[in-house]
Amino acid sequence: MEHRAYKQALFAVRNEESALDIVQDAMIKLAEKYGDNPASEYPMLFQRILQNTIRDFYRRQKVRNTWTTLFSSLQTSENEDGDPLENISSTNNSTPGTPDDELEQSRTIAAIEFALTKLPARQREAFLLRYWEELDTAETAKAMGCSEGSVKTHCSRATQSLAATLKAQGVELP
Amino acid sequence: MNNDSRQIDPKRIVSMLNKSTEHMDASTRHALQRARSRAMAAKHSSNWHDGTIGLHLASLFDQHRLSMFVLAIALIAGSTGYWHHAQQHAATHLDLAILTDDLPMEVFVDK
Repeated sequence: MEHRAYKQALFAVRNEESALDIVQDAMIKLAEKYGDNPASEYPMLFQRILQNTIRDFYRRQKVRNTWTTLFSSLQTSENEDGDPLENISSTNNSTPGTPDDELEQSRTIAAIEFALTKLPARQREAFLLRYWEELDTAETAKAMGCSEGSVKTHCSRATQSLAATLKAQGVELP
Repeated sequence: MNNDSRQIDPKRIVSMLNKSTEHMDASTRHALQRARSRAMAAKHSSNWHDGTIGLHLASLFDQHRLSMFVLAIALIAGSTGYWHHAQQHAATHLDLAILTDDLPMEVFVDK
């Protein structure tokens, strides 16, 4: 459960440490507040908590960014000479000497993850909850706090966007 | 772009995403494991805390009843003591008056 949650958070916030913090916060909230609930309710509750925690992160980041923008205009960046590629987190674990098929798979996974990060937040949320977490439309709507119709629309648009982005990258799904 | 190119089977994407979680690096796995342990510890702590609060409330209720009982006993004892002391004081006062031949007029009055 926490592995998929981590990936979801990572797609949303694009920072490994923040994603870990979000998952940990969500798990602690689930345990503290709903620990006595029936285990069958955990997936839905956890997803709702996770999505709320991600939204809280966005809100905090918005405030932080306001201050950062304000201060960065007053000072020069220390990383101007740094390699920008160093800041891109590697999501594929290919190592030198990896067989071709494994490398190809890693590339496909990286392309899918990139495409997911490019989706609007609500579309990504709906797509992942509906298809990856295997919640039904009603559960997804409940977790997202929207109507079932909106879930269907978000999922449809997400699927189309993913297809378009992957096609643009020349990625063929196995 | 035709309709076919705009369709993709979500299951195929999900399958690849599942593979990506399988290949998660060890440090992330450990961090997530630690996070899960912390959450479980928080749950136990929460349960223990709830239990403690329950016990504490119960004992507080018992303590309240006990303190009321003790207060009532103390009041009765205090009142009795005061009454006894007042009676003793009155008797002593009268004895002293008899000895000093300074009895008040009401002593001689037949009530």
